[in-house]
This record gives sequence, C-alpha cells and structure tokens, in this order.
Amino acid sequence: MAATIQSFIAVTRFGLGAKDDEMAKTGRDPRDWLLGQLDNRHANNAAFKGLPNAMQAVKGMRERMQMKKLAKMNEGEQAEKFKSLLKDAGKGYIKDVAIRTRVATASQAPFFERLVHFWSNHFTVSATKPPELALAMAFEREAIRPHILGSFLDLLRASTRHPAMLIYLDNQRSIGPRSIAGRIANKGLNENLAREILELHTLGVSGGYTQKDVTEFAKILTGWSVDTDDKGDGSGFFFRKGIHEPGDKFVLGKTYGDYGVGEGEAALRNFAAHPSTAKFIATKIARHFIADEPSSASVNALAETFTRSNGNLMEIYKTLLSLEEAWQPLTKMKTPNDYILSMLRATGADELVNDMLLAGAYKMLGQAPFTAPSPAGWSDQAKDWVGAEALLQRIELAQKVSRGVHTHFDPAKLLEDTIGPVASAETKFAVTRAGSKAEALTLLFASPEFQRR
Amino acid sequence: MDSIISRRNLLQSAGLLACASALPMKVSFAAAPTDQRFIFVILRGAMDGLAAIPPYGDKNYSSARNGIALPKAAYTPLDNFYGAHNSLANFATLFKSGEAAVLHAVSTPYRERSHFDAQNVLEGGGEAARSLRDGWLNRALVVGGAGGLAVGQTIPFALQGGAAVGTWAPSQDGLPEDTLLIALERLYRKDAMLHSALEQAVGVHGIADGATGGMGKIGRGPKGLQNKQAMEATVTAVGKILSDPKGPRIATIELGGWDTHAQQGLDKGALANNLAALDAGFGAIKPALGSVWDKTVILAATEFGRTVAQNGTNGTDHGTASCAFLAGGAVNGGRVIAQWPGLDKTQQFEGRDLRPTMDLRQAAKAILADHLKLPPAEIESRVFPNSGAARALEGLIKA
Repeated sequence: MAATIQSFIAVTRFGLGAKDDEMAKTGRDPRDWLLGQLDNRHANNAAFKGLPNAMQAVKGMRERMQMKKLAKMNEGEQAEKFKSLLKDAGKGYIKDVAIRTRVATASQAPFFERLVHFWSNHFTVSATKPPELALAMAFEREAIRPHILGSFLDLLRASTRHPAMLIYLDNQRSIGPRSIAGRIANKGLNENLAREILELHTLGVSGGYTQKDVTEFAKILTGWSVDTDDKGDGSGFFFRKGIHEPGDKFVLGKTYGDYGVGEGEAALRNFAAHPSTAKFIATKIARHFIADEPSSASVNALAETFTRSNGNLMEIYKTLLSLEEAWQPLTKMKTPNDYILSMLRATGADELVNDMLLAGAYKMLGQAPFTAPSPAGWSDQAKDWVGAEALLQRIELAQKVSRGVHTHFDPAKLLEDTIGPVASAETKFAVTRAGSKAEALTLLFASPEFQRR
Repeated sequence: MDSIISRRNLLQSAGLLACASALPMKVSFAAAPTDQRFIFVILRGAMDGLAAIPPYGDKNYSSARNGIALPKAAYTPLDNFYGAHNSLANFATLFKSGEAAVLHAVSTPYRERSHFDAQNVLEGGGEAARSLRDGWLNRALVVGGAGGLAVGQTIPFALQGGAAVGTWAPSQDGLPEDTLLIALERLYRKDAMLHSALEQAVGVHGIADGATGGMGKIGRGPKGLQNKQAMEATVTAVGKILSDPKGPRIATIELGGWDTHAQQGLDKGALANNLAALDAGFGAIKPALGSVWDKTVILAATEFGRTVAQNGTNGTDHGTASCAFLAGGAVNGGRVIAQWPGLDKTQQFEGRDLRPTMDLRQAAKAILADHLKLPPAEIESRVFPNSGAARALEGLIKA
C-alpha cells in the first residue's frame, strides 16, 4: 500500500521523522497508531541505567564547587584534580546527549518522545557549565518523562520541585525576609522562579497577574529548596522551614495562610486550574503541532478540553489529533532538534559516529540540548530558526551525514520512505538525477519537504 | 578554490541572484541612499545600568544599593556625578574624547517586567508588547531605503519586517559548492522562506568572507559573543562590512547574559565580564570602521533595568529604567544625558526600580532624523507611530 499524506504527517509531525518503512506501519487510521504509543512503559528506558539522578548530580556540583575553592588556594594537585573533574563532567554531558539522541532515534514510540521534548522545553532548565548540565538532563528523565501522560498539575508540580528548576531559577536561596534566617542574616527574596512559573509555565505573560502577585508567590515559594544534606525523600527536593516567609500571602485574589510547603502546592493547583493557563498551554501545543500561527478555533478546542478535563493531558492529545487543522501537511519548519533526529532516524547515522560528533551536530545548528538562551526555552517558530546562516549550517550538516552514509542507500527509495507522499516533482527530479549518491541524499535532506513537518 | 567574484558570477548566471528582482528589496547593497552608518546593539537580559554607569554622586547611591554599590576603586568618574564601571575602559576613553555619550534613567514605554515582552517593545518600537508587527529599524529601512544586516544566525525582531535584510555570522567554512546551491535554488522556489534565506546567504557572504579571512573559528550567535576575543573578532569583521562602500548601512548586534539574578559581582564577576565583552566591541569598532567612524552612530540598549537594591542572592531582580550607550564619530559626546530621578526609596519606581525619565525612542528618533536624515514626519507616522509624547532629543548628533 502506498503511503498517504496522513501517514507522512503522523510519522513526521507527531513523530520524529520516518525510520525505515514507518509510514507503511501507521495502518488505516494513523491516529490509532499515535495513541497506541502513549504508554507509560516508555517513560523509562534501559539506556538510562547508570546515569546520575538529581541527588547524585547535585552532589557532583557541590564537590566541584568545593574543589574549585581548594584549587584557587592551591595551584598544584588540587587544581589538576579540579580540571580533571570538569573534564569528566564535560564528557558526561556528551554521553548524556548521545544517549538521549539514540533513545529518540531508536524509538518505536516517537510521538511519546516528541511530547517529552515538547514538555521539557516548556519547562526549560538551561545550563552552561557541564556539572549543571548533568542535573538538567536528570530533570527531563525524572520530572518530565514519567508525567507527560498524567495531568498538567502533576507535570507542573514535578517540574517546580525538581532541584534543576529550583537551582536554575535561583529559588533554593530565596529567603523570606521575615523568616528566622531572613531576620538573622538580613537576606531576602529572589523572585525569579515565581515570575517564570506565572509567565512561562502557567498563566502566560498576558494571563492577568501583577508584580504584587509575583512578589507574594515568591514568598510562598521560600523554603522550596534542594536536599543537599540527604534529609529528604531521595527526590532531591527539600522544604526548608527556617527560610520560609511566615504570615498570610495573597496571590490572584486568593489568600494563603501560614502552612508551609502546602501553600506552594495549593498555589500550583490554583494556577493549573486558571483559565489563562488553559489558553496558554493550548496555544503552545497548537503552535508546536499545527502551525506557527494556529487558528483560534483550534486553540479554543484545546483550551476547552484542558478546562473540562482538569488538565488531563491524554484528553488534550486526543483533541489535538481530532483537529482537522492538525492534518495539513508541511506547515511547520523543523527545529534543529527535529531536523537532526529525523535525519538520523532516516539513515541510522547515529550508529556510525561517536558521541562527540552527535553532540556537535546540535551545537552546529545552535540548539545544544539544555542550553536554551532563556527560561522561555527554544522558539517554536520558523522565523527564529531559518536565517541565512542557519540554513547554510543545515545544508552543511546534510552534506556531512550524506557523505557518511550514502553507500548504504538507494536515494529514490529513501525519498519515498521519508517524504514520498509530499515530494514535489522538482525534488524527485533533483534527487534521482543528482551526480552522485552523496549529492542526491544532500538534496533530499536539504529539500523543503524534508526540512518541514 | 574559486574566488568569490567568480562564484558570484556563476550564481548570477544560474539565476540565483537574478531572481532577487522578483522580491521588493534585496541584499544587493549597491547605491545605498545614505552614507551614514548606524549600529544597534541589543543587550538581552536586562542590564543593570546602575552598575554599568554608577551615579556615585547621588547621596543615596551606597545605601540604596546596599551590598552592590560599586566601591570607589571600581569605577572611573565620567563627570562629578556619574562614573563608568572599570570594565568599560574603552568606552570611557571614547567618552573623554567626546565620541561617546550615556543616556541614563532611560527606558522603553514598557512598565512591566517580562524580558520577552520588554524586548518586543524595545525592538518593535511601540507603546506595548506586540502592539506592532515589525521592528522599528526595519521600518526605518523601508522609509530610508538603506541596506540592513543582522549579525547572528537569525534576524532579531528589530530588523524583521517589509524590508529584506541580510544575516551574517562568522563562519569558518564559507559557502557550499555552487552546483549544490544552484540545485537548491530550484527546489526552494516554491518555499519563500527557504528561498529568501538562501539568497541572503549567498549575497552577504560575498562581502563578509573577504572581511574575515584568516580570522579563525569564533563563537556563533549572541551567546558566542560573551567573551572578549569573540566580540573583538566579530566587531572587526562587522566594521569592515559596514565600511565597504557597497555594504549595508545599518546593522544589529545582539549580546545576551545580563540577567544577573544571583552573584552579580562588583568590579569582578558575571556582570563585570559581560561589560568587558561589550567594551571589547567599543574598543574594536573604531579602528575597524576606519574613516567611516566619523559617519557612525552606535546605540547599545537593554530591555529594562534591574532593582535598585540587591535581592536575597547577591544579585538583582527585574526592574525598569537602565542606561544606554552611544558611541561613534558622529555623536556629540562627552556627556551623560539624563534627568536624574534620584535613588531615595520615595523617588524609585514602585519603590524598587530606577524611575524612567526618558523614553529610549527620543534617542532613536534623533538618530533617524539628524544622523540618517529620515524625514521627521515619516519617523512619526511610520517608524514610531503614536509616539508624539517622545520628542527627539536635540543636539545628540554633531552638527
């Protein structure tokens, strides 16, 4: 049976690009194929075995910080030891990126993996130093993967409690000015996490909150901190009562009494149920899966499901797949992450190169995992990815991959397997008439149909 | 390896550049209508203006900034009230020779504290976030007809809009083979976005590859500029591109990393390092521009400032007014231009931020009118609509 446009959309837009004859496997209704992938057994993966969890990553960070101090005082042995620790951490990140990549390229549940990447970007944690990157990668495995099929509140709660988020947005040392520690040390609030939860994770910037709400929510979040002394439940989260701001707080018209960690839990519950959150999350999902500027009808349908189902994510995905607008071909430009993964799924090139080259590909296209330039995460719009330089980089990468794998492929068949149902006559002509197999594959991967989803 | 000229000819004969005429305006920079240059440096992340240009003469400066007031040894006085952070040594030199100025207590009309909305206002030039659909610099290009260049892999919102602009980022590799580009040009004809990106890539690299020859590998994009060497190398190349008689006249450069919520530091630390990277740009641009320096204005501005007092983590949170930098041979410099609002708690905006007393668009308007010679009526109606209250600053540009 010839592949259909619907099967192309299922494997490319909702999945991560065709692997082998994936389009032929989507069956009569590609929606069933997609929904069948939404199973929590994909949350864990044997490939993650042995990678550091949050607690270990935090310990590693502290160790390196102490070593750095020692190294400053002592030029010789300590400095050497510090350098080697840092080098190990850098290698750890590269290995971690390679494992994450190979989990995505090998996956038989690419819709699940795309949702992981989507939510991990919605709740962005970003780092520039290798030791922090290990923690950021643990974040995706611990806070995102187990929760993407549950409720939005589960996901929000897991993200907010995770050490990676608490450290990235400075909450671990935000101190209630009137708490015991605050009065003694004359220290105060850091409102970074409180603001970004409201602006970027829940209500959205136009969601109807004020500076006062941010400050009050920051008070509520004081004490939400990292378990640096092994006193918690092993998750890495620890509530520090001694720095929690006492007294009543007022956020978005609701009063939160003085009841410790429960205040934050209640606030997150209320934010998750806020109509602005339904709209904001619906818009982000529609923008990722439908078009850079999705219709308000589609956004409203998703927001209605969000509200009706109390943020039940499975229900939202079902609504998404039922929208006619979600099945129009080639409306979305692939991000570098999408582009790299789809090229690897098509060719298996990730099996041929070392970890360093794999991680280098993301860096080359400007989207190294967990290094987003701000808490807003990576853009989901073509205008932010398709500049002249960015395009040249894509072409260059396409060329490198093609030169590495061309002997294994018949270009015409690979074209059918990856973009067959949407390939233009020009693209088919160019790929079949190219001067060499390597050039044929480069043209295929650089073609508009392959760069879009 | 073939030369750039023959490469361009080959592509031209293949139709890649020729098809540019189908679109309104392209990156062939020939016959630019102005000979003046303007560089807009976007400092993303909210720069702490009170640390960059400390108002040390304000009697409340030390107490209001509690732990993060700069000690005397950490700044150079610019006059008897304002100083320049030690990391801004090149800028201070330009200031003292009358080729640089500071705007202080300045902001956009935006009064909330989201980075992304604030940058949208800074670049869009409107009254509120998302009130305008394209960038003010692009609208200025539409009015003035000059060529624009975004330094980086993509085009910032300030330069997005109806006028086509080029992008350029330092690259080791240059262009792929001509045969491949020619084949791709055919494939992209039905995909306007990819087609325009390819055209720009071919157009801009013609000039830039010559300028960066032998420069070696340096970081890409805004993030990559956050060290002195990368900034120097990039700015040197940008200076060469802009000084080419057929090159673009207007450029943007982006520099991130200003969001210093924790461990901001005083004379050393995160903020000092970022200021030093910016300052490396001020040091490199004058020699790179050569004689064109006298026809140049540079404006470096951020989306908003930071809180006056430090927060609980030795940093500062999102604030309102900050400072902005002007440099260039055409700037009537040696002055800090400000109506100082004071730093007493009662003088602060919402009891926490430096109060804005100047609209950044006042400076932008002056540059467009007095430097780039755009008609004031067009500036009011097309570049900065509904901004009548923000009057262009007088005497900003040398007569």
